Amino acid sequence: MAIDLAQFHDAFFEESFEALDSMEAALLKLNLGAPEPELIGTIFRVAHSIKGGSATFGFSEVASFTHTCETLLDELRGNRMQVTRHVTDLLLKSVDVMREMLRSVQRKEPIDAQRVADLQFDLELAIAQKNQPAAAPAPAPVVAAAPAPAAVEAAKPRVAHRWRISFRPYPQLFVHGNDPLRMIRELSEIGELSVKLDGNALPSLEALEPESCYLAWDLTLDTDAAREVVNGVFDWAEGDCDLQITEEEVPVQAAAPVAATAAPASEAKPSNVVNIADAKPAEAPKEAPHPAAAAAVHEGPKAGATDGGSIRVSTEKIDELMNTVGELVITQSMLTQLGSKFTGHAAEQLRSGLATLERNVRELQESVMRVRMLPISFVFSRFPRMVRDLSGRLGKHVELKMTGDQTELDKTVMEKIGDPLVHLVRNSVDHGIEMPDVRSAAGKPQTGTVFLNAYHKGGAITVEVGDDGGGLNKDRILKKARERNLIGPNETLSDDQIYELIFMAGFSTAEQTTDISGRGVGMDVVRRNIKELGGTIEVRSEYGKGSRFIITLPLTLAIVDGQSVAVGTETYIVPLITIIESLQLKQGMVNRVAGSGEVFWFRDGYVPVVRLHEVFGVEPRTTQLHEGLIMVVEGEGRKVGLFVDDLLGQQQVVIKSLETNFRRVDGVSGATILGDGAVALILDVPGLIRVATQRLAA
Amino acid sequence: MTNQVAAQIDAAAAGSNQMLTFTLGEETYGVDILRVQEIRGWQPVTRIPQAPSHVLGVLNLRGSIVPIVDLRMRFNLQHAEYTPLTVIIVLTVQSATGRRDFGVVVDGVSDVIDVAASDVKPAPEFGAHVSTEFIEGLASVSGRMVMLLDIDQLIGADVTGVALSPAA
Repeated sequence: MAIDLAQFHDAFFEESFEALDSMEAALLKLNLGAPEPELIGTIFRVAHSIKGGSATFGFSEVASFTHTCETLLDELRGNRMQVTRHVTDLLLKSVDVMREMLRSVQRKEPIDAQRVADLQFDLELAIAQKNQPAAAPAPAPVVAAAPAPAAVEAAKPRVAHRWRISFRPYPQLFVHGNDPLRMIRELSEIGELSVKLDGNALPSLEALEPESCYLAWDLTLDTDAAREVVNGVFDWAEGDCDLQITEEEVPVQAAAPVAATAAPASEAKPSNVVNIADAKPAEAPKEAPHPAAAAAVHEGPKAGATDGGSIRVSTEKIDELMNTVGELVITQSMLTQLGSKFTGHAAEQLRSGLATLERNVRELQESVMRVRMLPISFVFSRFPRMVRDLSGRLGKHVELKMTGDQTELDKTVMEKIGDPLVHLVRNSVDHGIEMPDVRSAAGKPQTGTVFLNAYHKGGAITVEVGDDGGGLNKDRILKKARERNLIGPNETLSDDQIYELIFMAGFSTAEQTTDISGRGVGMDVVRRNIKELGGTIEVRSEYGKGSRFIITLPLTLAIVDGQSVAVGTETYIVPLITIIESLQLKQGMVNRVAGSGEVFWFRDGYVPVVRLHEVFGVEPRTTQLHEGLIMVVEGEGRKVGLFVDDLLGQQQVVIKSLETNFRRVDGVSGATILGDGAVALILDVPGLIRVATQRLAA
Repeated sequence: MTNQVAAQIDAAAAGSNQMLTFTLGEETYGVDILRVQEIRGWQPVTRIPQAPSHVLGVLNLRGSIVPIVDLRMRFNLQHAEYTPLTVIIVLTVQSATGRRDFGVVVDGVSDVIDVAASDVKPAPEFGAHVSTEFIEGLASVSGRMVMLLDIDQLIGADVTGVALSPAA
C-alpha cells in the first residue's frame, strides 16, 4: 500500500515554518553563558522534527543540514558546549537557511547549495572547536561534505553513579498495565541511558502471544540519582519481573556520544522497538558515532503534548461558519420581530424563548468571530530578531520592549499590519535611537529603548511603536518641506501639521540614506496601508526625548460599525470611522462656487456638498439641503458633506462582497443584510469622494 | 427520486435536455434546468449605482448578495409592472472568474420540457437589429416555439463588468 506522501507536504511546510519561528524566538531569549535547558530543549525539538520530517519526505539536503544543527544543539543540551554569541549567531543563520531551503523545496526550486554548505561547515567547525577558547585558530579536523561530523573527544561531566540494570519481565507484565517503554523513558529522563535489548526469548511468529512480554533489557544508566530513585521506576513492575540493579564504577573519561547518521537509521528500523540503539559506553571507541537517539525518546512525546490544545482549520471553513452564523442572526431578528406581533397565553413563552435564542445567537457569533482572532504576537515575534540584527549592523545598543502581545485581532488585519509595523520599528532603530556616544552626551543611558505596545480600546485595537531616541526635528522637517516647496516660505504650521509632513510621499529627513531606511519611501505607504484597513495613525514626538506612533485599527474586517442613512427608499451604511460630524444646514449657509458647486463653512474651511441621491441616481425624499441632513465624512484627507434624507441608527454590520456574484461598484465597498432581510450597500467613502469629484469636474 | 435521476440519465443518453420554460409577454424561453437554483416570488431589490438599467439591483439569497436582471429590459421588450405573480428565477452562470449566481425577472414560469438535441434548430440571422448571440437555438415543442437561452453569453458580460459605461 503505497501512500502518497505529497499530500502531507503542505502540513509539513506549514508546521516547519511555524516551528522555525518558535526556534528563532527561543534562540533570541537564550541567555549567553547560562542557557535555560527548557529553551534549548525547544530549539532541539524543532531541529529534530524538521530533520525527521524532511528525511521522511526525502528532502535529503534539508535533512542533512538539520542534522548538523541538531548535533550542535545536542552538544549544547548536554552542556558539552558553551552558548556563546557566535553559536547563537550561527544558529540564527541556520534558521534562515532552513527557512530558505524549505521554501525552495516547497516551490520546487533549486537550493542555494553553496550557502548551505558554507554554514554547515561553520557549524561543524563550531562543534569541533567546542571547549576551545574562541580566539584559538582552528586546526579544523573537519570534512565539510560528510554528514557525519568528526567525533571529538571531550571530558564528560562526571556523574555520581553508573547503574547496571538487568530488567527481565515475566510474560504477564502487560496484563498488569506495565509498559516497559514508559520505564525506559523515565530512566532516560534521570540520566544518560544506554539500552541493550535481549530478544532471545522471542518465539516464532506463529507462537507469539501478542499479550505476553518476551523481551528483556540490559540497561546502563549514568546518573546522579540514588539507587532508590532508580528502583522507584520499577515499583509497579514488582513481582512481574526479575530486576537486578548493580552499581559499576563510572569511567573517568568517557567519550562524548556524538549524534550521527545512526540516529535516523535507527528510527527507520521497525525492529528497533524503543528507538534506542545498542551501545556500550564503557568501551566506546572515539570514532564510533553514538546515536543520540536516547534523547529523542523522551523529547518526542513532550513535543506532542504541547500541540494537543489546538487544531488546524482552513480560514475558508471559518468564513463559511461566519456566513452561516450571520444568516442565523438575521433569521433570529426576523423571528423576534414576528414574535412581538403574537398575542395570547403562549405568546409570553414564545417571546422568552426568542430572547434566549437571541442571546445564544449573539454568543455564537462572538465565539466564531474569536476563532478568527489571533494574538498580535504573531506579528510581534519577528521584531526581536530584526532589532537585534539592525542594532548590530548600526553599532547601536537597542533594547526592545513589547507589551500586550497577547492582544487579539483578526487574522486578515494581522496579515496587512505586519509590513507597516516593520517599517516603523526599523525607522525607530535607524533614525530614532542615537549612537551610544550621542546618547551619553545627552545624558541618556547608552542603550536605547524601542517599545511596542498593543491594547484594546473601545472596539478597536491600538498599537504603539515608540522609542526614547532623538524625536522628530521640527526645524529640519520644516526646512526640508520648504526646500521641496511643499509649503510656502512664510507659512507657519502647528506641530501636528508639521508631523503630518512626514507622511508625504518622498519625504525623508535622514541626512544619509542607508540601506535600512531613509530613502523617503515609506511613511506614506505606511499610512496608506493603515487607511486601507480602516485605521488611523498619529504621531507624538518631543525633540530629544523620542517619538511615538499610535496606530488604531478595527478589530476585524468582517464587521464594520456603521451609521445607516436613508435616501429615498434606499438604506446605506456609512462606516462610523469616516464620519466627522452630522449637521443640519440652515438656509443661506450654502454658497455656490462658479454657479454649480455647493460649499459650506465647516470648522476651518469650506467643504463641498455631495448629494448622495445624485451620485447614486435614486429618488430622494427631498432635494432641499435644509430639509435633509449633512454628514461630514473624510476620505484620503478630503472632507465632503454628504447630503442624505435622514439618519436611521448605528449598528454593527457584517460585510459581504458584491463581487462574489456581481462586480466592484465605485463608491461602494460591499453590502450587508439588514434585520428585515433586505440588502443595504456599504459606502466606500474615499471612492465615493472620487466619483463625486469626477462628476463635478465633468 | 431514483426514477427522476434515471429519467435524466436516459434523457441525457438520448441526447436530450430538460429545460425550464418561462414567458416574457408572448414569447416563450427555455433554460437548462440544471442551471436553475431556485424560483421565488418578486420582492423589492436594493438598487446598485452605476449599473446598467436592466440590472435592477441586488437581493439577499440566503446570505449571498445576488444581482437581479430584468429580462424584459435586457431584451428591449416593453416594460411590465412587477406584480406578486412576477417571478425571479435564480440561475448559475460560469464566467471567466468562476461560478456566479444571479436572478432573472420573468413574467411567469410555464413548464419543464424535454428537448431532444435533434429538435433544436439554429436561430436564423435577423440582421443587425435583432441580436441573437445569446440564443442557443430554437426548439418547437407541441406547436410552440421555445427560444433556448445561452445564459453564460447573456449574463456573463453584465456580471463581470466588461462592456460597461464608465462611472460618470
